Amino acid sequence: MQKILNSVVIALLLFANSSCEDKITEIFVANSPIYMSYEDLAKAVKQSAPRNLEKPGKIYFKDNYIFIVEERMGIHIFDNSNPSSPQNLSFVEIPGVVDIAVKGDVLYADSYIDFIALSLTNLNNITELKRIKNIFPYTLPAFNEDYPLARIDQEKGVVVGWEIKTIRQEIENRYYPIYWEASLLLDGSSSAYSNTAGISGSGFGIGGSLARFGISGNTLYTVDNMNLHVFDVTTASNPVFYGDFYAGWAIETLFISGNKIFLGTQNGVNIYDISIPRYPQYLSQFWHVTGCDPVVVADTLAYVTLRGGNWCGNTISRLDVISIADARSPKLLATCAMNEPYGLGIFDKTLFVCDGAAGLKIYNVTNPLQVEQNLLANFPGIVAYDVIPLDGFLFMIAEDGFYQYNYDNLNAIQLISKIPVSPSNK
Amino acid sequence: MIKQSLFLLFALIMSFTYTHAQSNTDLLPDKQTNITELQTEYKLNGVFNITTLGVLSGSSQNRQSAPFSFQSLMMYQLDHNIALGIGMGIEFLEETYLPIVGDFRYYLRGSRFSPFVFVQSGYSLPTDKTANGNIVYDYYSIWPGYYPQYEEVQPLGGFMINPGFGIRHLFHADFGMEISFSYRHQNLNYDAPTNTRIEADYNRLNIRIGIIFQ
Repeated sequence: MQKILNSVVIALLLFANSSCEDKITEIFVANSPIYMSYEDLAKAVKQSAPRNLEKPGKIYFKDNYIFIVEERMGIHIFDNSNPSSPQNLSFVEIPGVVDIAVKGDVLYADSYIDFIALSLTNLNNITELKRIKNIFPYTLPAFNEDYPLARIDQEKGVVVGWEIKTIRQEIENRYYPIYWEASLLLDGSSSAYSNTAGISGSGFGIGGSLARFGISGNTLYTVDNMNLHVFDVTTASNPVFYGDFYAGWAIETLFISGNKIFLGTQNGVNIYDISIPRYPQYLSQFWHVTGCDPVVVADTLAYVTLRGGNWCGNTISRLDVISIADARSPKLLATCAMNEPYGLGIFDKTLFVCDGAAGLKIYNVTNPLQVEQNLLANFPGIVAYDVIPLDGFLFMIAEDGFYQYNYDNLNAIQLISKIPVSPSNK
Repeated sequence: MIKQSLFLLFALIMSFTYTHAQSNTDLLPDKQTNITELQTEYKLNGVFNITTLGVLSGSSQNRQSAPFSFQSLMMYQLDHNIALGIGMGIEFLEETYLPIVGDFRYYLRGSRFSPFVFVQSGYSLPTDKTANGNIVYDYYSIWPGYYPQYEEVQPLGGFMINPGFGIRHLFHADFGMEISFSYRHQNLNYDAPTNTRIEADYNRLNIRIGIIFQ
């Protein structure tokens, strides 16, 4: 009897130790994820009728065409042959798109975690050429910050939206390596502005200061929060993924100048040498206080804006002028107080800074040590996020739409056209 | 204050029922003519007490793998096999609780040595007004948004059910011991800030040993 009892006790203890786990459940109102399966994502790209701008993101120019990202929805394509009256040609639905770049007649974009290449050969029939899956980190769209997030099940697909509802979920203390979307982080890409008809099969654009895609020669670089992704685009229609390189923490923007990449991070600017395109070599880092900081470069000078008072941390907002004559040892030359700067652009010796509600500011940077004293013009009525100045034309994405200016006369820049943000017309 | 009052009430119930039990205690020999049987066939009649100590054993992955449990039951023997009762105890889970239970048990043999099966059900009352918000978390994620962090939660208690089996051995007409094993499901509820409710479900092996007396 005693043996039986002992056996029962041991068996029960083993059972309890292995299976009697407590369960803790939370019941709360939360942002509950709406998923798109990976299968649906892979076949979601399609061309549709033109739409109004609703939440414009990054911009790109190629030949006579303007590409404006509708954040996480797709890309608007405008014919800009007549800058005073851009024609809304088409809309390409690309779920999760944030960044784009164009080489020849191929457009590269992100689609949540995938990298895709689209053919622009026939703008009436834009098709997907190639998809490279699982390149980018799993990101989440902006959510209602009044409520917590429900648990995300990455197996179900990508999160395309949220619904507020009461949820019941078991608590699991797990580490989620998920990166958070910067709700106001826009990305500009670039292009050469010209009056050539059609999308040419050669050349590539120029990115704005908020871009995270950039092309140098036959290499496309994209950056996420931590990694630099490198693609061979020698054959534009068949991009080949080289690999990832850890490039720093909290990377926000990418700017290519010559054989160097400048990565704007929350804590500074990281500089890499891309003389060997496949293998970016770390050169240096210029540290600054934590803030959101796009960067542009002209010759031996880098211009960096820091925006504080937001999720980037810190409260300092300013423009830094950094000497990169020796890229291994960047030096701060001058600073200039700002209100809430976003993107910036430079052409020749003219610097354009989007200073949020303080408007668009234009500086003469002939003497980079005295930027603040050389404010040429300030347009406080323009709440701009990013600009691309090019040969007398200024392309600007702002809160309420896309603007084109002529800045031949810097003291009296002229609005050529505006594509306004409008309510949904789907 | 509530805690002290509950203990006082518990002590009063114990003393009253013990006194009452003594007045009704009886030794009932099955066979009056057999002196050996008379000495061995002890049977409980009327009200008796079962006081037990035990642990709520569970997986080592749990925050508390084997919290301590004390319980005192006042039982009434309906016939040779069936007993009913009520009881109260104290358990040291994440917070301290006073479980108030009803107990039904069936003695398979109804003699001095008898296996039995039983089921208890009741409600556990918290003695603490607040609980540490860490009831939910062993650690926090470094990423914002996923885990609402509670500075303070209010324990509300919850229902429990406890079916099991055991063995009773009466050493004397008014004294014995028992050991029991049961599956214990304990539900505990908490109110947390930001309109959040938390439910904790304990699934444990309850191992108890105790004394029986009248």
